[in-house]
Amino acid sequence: MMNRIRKGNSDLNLLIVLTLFSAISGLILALVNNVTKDRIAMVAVIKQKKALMEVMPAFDTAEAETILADPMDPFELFVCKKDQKPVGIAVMASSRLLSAEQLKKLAIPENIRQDQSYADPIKLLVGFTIDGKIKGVSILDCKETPGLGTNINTPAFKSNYVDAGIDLKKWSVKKDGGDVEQLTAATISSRATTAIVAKSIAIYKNKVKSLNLK
Amino acid sequence: MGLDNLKKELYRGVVTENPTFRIVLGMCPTLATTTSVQNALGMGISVIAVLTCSNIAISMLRNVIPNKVRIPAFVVVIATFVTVVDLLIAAFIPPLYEALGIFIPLIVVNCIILGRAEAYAAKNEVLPSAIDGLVMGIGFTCSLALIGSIREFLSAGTLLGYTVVPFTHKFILMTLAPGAFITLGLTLALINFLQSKEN
Repeated sequence: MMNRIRKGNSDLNLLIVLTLFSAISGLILALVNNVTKDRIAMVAVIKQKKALMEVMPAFDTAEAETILADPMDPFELFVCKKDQKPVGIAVMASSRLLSAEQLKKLAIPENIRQDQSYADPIKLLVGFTIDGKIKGVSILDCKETPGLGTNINTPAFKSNYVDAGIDLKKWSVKKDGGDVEQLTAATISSRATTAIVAKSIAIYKNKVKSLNLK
Repeated sequence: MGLDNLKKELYRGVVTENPTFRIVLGMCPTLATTTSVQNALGMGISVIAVLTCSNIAISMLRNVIPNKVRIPAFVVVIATFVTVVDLLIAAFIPPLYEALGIFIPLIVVNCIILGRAEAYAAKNEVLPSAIDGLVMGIGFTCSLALIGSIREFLSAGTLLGYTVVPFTHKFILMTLAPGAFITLGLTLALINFLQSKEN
């Protein structure tokens, strides 16, 4: 065995072996990705449906509308209806940084806080009743620090938002003079989550206006 | 390999060559994920699975990998492996992914995996390498659970989420990074002290 290893040390051989390793691992990854991607997308859809039930009042149809297309991280809007009447609107949004152009497209005020999360963008589904209250918040994706930032997914933290009015001025954490009780040791995650809720409120307000309910 | 041998191996992984307290490898995940017993176990179980499988893979490939480039080759194998496991769990066992998903990418940067590949799997047959991965993983899980229970208990008076002693105020320092270093340092010191007494 030692002999073979020593023999295998010529530069060309090293090059060939490493190239082969990388090529094979790339091939394996491509194959596995191909096999799994449809199922992963399906799991995400199921998760989204469950989340929608969680943050909306009882409804029988939901019309989805993509308001900001993105292969990885789209912003979507769901108008939920019962007996043909809208009962609630849910906004799916994330903490990724939006360009001025994107903000304009979504009709969100340009000076809105865009606090970033600690890790990958946090994705939320924020549910509003049609009369302008937050019904619930569901966390679709969160890769924050286990045990600290992941605590945004606790009922205690979410209660900051649930049943809250939607006055935009107060939507920041207490450290920044707002109403939201930030998590200890996870101010960044708390800020990012609050910023997403604030963006969702702006999106919701525009949608309600366009629905012309009154 | 008989049962006696297996027991000896287990003793080696958990006590004499414990990855955290004796070899002192994989400190980053140890410090980061021991905020509670549940997180510690989540990380530990993920490491058991990945370490056992990566040891098997490395051991099978050990005669093909030239000595000079073994480390990059190991890294490629391990990173591929972890990504495959990550994708498969996400697609086929979503509930498990909900619980362990955040830990799986952290495993790539865990030195224990590379350490065992280099120190053991690259020199041994497949079966002993698999067993080495298993016992080392168990040893890692035990130490993480120990640190996790100390930190969780001191910070909130709970264990695995159940209240043991009701605290009126949380001792937040223990869930933060300094708490991790303090706990790890003191536990290491205690274990070294016990060890030196034994000798």
